[in-house]
Amino acid sequence: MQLVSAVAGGIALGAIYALVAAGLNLVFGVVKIINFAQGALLTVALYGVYVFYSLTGADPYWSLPVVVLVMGGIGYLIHRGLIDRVLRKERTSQLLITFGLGMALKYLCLAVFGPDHLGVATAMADRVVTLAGVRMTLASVIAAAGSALAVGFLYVFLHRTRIGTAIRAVAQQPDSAELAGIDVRRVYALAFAVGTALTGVAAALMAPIYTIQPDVGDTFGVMAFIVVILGGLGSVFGAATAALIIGIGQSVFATLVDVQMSTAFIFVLFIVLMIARPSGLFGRTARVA
Amino acid sequence: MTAATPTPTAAAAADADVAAAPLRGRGLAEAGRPVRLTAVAVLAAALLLPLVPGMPFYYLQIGVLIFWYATLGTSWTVAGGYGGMHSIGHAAFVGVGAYTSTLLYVDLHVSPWLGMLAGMALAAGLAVLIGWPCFRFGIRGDYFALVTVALGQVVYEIANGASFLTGGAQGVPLPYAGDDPLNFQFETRTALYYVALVMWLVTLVVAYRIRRSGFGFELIAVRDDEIAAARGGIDVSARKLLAFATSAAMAAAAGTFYAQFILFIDPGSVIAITLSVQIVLMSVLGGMNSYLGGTVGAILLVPLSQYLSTALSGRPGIDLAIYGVVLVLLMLYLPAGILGTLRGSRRWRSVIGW
Repeated sequence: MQLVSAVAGGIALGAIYALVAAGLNLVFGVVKIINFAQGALLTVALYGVYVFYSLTGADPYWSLPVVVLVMGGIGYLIHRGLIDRVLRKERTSQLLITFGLGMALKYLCLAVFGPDHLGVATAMADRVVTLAGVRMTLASVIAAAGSALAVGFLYVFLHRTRIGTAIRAVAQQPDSAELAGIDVRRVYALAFAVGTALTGVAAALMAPIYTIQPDVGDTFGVMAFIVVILGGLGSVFGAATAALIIGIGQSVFATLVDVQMSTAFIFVLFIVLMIARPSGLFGRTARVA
Repeated sequence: MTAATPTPTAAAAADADVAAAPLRGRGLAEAGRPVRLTAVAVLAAALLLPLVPGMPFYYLQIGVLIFWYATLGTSWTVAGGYGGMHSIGHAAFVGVGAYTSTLLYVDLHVSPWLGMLAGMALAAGLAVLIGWPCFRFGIRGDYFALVTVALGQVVYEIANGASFLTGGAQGVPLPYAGDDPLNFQFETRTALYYVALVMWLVTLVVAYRIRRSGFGFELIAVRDDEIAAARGGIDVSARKLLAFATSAAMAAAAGTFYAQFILFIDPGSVIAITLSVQIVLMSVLGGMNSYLGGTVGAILLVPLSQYLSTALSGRPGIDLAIYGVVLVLLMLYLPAGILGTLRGSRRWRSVIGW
């Protein structure tokens, strides 16, 4: 019974990992940079939800469209202002610029909002439901279902729309895509904006479950990398599977062994898997670094 | 370099070839008189600073922190600058050094000087444990950086979680034993200042010697083109491993110093990812390809951050936010760092060891 609820909790956790990772994966697959600021952007989005909640007093779920649009805009500006200008420079510059950005954003949040744990309350989902014999808060069911839905939407967007097709074309062959008349630089900015907007979706879904403080995005950011790398570059479903495995693994380890060590367990697992299967659990792509 | 087969003799011949290469320059000896005089003056000023009567304690403290961060930045340069291994988890090694010597001292009364050696050995061992499979299976660039981020998190979580051993998030206070140089404890801050200075100087000289050695040249060949270096008869994995382990050991020694200086350690101060990023920033700001980069970076950043955190003490975190902004601006406008601007001149290249 304990195990079953641990697995259920792990699915909710894994679904959020999948969502944050989907944004990272998109940027990684299209723009070919590792966005180390993804975790900090999630923190910013969570504070965005908090600001919306304290200004309007409305249920935090209503902040979703606002936060998504704002985060998308921020992502577009970040790409145009920073990323685009280092794309032709060394890898080191790209690596460190997103790292510096993440650090600046995270500590700006600390400077503006202070180190306190802030919370948002949801009246809509503040009750416990029983699903297949497992008692869960409605908020975590919504987080899991909403994340799955958002990842599904992303898949449809990438595969069934003209813009999505253009994004995939650029991911595969930027030069050929350009020859076919696609504005590659615009697609890069768009992919970055969508990737950032997904942190907005994740923020609105997870805000009622987690307390908000400047460190909150760190773990999610690092976990998202792990998910992307284990799931294999560019594979939406590979990443989703990896996210679920990690979420469930972490939750079960926390329940059966030790809460404190559950994150460390995942990182050790990651290092081992990374070395054993450099192209990801499901990936076949050769690794070019 | 004609060594096609990596036999010992061929490798030795390759070493000799590299040593004879005219590109090598004469290093520091090539610096002009003004530069040499400036260097001597700066060193003398650093040596005499604590002897100035009425020198405020606060300035000495900043001096110690400059030496400390310069030591860390220089240690990072050996792996990140020379070897192209951009570790964003160097705080893990600082933490291993700090915790090893501290726990040996507090629990078993082993002198922290010995504890420092043990910490260096452990950190080097950890670097080999992580580095060997990475270099063996060709994990480099961004992927290596990610592994080091994960390594930093693992060590952090272990220090946080294994509270029976490490005191967990509460940290470990070190007893102050009065004037006891054998146990790395001193009555005056002046003595600690000189210890920090010596540690920095030793690290700097080691980094300089490595850069000028055959090993250093091989390392740079590996950084610039692994495949070509391997074809030239260089054992790529072994060179990277040695550089990474050396760098880790240096960082661990600095970790022990921190513990003896502050007399309190906790995961947040010696293992946090913030420290890892600060270490990278020191080296990158100064110019990460030069053995002097970490020092230049620390001289600029430590006073700035001390000033900012005092001036803006009502806003915790603003100094670190500014670190982040500095890193972004650097990458946009000065990706080679401050010393990197000198790399156009052949003589300067030799002096700064670019």
